[in-house]
Amino acid sequence: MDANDVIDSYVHDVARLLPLGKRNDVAFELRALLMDDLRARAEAEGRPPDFDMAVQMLRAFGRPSRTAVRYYRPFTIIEPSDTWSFLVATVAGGAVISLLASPRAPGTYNEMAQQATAAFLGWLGALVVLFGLKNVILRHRPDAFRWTPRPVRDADRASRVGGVGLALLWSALLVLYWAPGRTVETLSGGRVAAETLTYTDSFTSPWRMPWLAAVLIAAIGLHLTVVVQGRWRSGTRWVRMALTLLIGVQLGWHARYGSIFQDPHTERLLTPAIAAASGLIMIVCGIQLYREYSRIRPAPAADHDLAP
Amino acid sequence: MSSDDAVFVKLEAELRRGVLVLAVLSRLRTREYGYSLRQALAAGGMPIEEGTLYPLLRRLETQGVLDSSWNTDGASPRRYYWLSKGGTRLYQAMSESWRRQVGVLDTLLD
Repeated sequence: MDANDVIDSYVHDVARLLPLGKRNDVAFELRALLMDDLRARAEAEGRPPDFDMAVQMLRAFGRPSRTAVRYYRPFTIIEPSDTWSFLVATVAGGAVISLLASPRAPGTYNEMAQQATAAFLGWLGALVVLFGLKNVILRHRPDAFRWTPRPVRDADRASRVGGVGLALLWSALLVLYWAPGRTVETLSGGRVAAETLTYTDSFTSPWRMPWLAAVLIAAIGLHLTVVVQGRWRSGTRWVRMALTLLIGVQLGWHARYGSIFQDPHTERLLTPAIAAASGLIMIVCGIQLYREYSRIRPAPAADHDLAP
Repeated sequence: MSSDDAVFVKLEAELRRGVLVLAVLSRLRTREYGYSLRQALAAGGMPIEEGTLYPLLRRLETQGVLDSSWNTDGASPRRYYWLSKGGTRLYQAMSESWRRQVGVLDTLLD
């Protein structure tokens, strides 16, 4: 390639990024201008133009895509200000899809991975279409999606009634978890036999079942503490996250390793549900963590003093 | 380059970008093509990168500020630009606005 070929290559790479109606004319002009620039550079350097001189000149000119954007600003599919929302939606959707795409039977991991990948790509495509549609609407109607004020929610305010309710709910879950057979038999009036929900001996060993019970007791204590304090604080929020994580991990552990119920039918029915619950709780923990780090607390930065 | 120098270079470039269009229009009261215009601006103390100037001329033409025509008689084809009728009026209005801005800024800087 000589200097002319280098310029032709650059002009071609710029022109192919322009609308059809503009590209030939811009290419013709840009080539002539770049040839003039190259001749002037060669004259200044006192040597004929060559490949290296042309490449150096064009690299200083800028990448072809950036030059093309200066000639013609293309349509952006996603409005730059929506980038963060798009990313959050992508991650959240991906998390839900990975939770729902759990293996139905041993040895179906490849099939599960293919289905999950297809579902995720479909989700990504749907997001591109939705955000692109929003951008098209905004280009034609700038007043669309107009901001309207809404009250800023005090996320830390804890309803005392709600807190007591949650403590009671966790207590009920603890009773159900500790003695599922007897509890369900009592609640169903004997229609469901206790044996169908009897745990295996390995599950009731000190290394498995009791740990989650301890976490549930801690969760009850946490909600009662918040009821007394009247609001969530940093400490109680972090404890809540830690307990949520522990519950998710322990449920996942139960579902993954060893059998839970003596009745094989119950085992087949409930173990996937327990695994799904584990995944859902991990997502909830992720949301709690995201909310903790993205909280808006208006305050001056630590290294800037307020003016006297 | 210290961080203060880097900030100055960046802000000064923004300041120059704000007057670029007016500077370009000032040279197009006579016919110029891209390369000669760049030389004229540089000689007048307003150097400008080719990657900025050439697309700007196209944009101004699309907006109706400039007219243009090709001259393919010489060794190199050249597209000459000059102020359109609307561009001339626009240039006069922008020049007056600029002079007012200079007055305002001189007062603020005192």
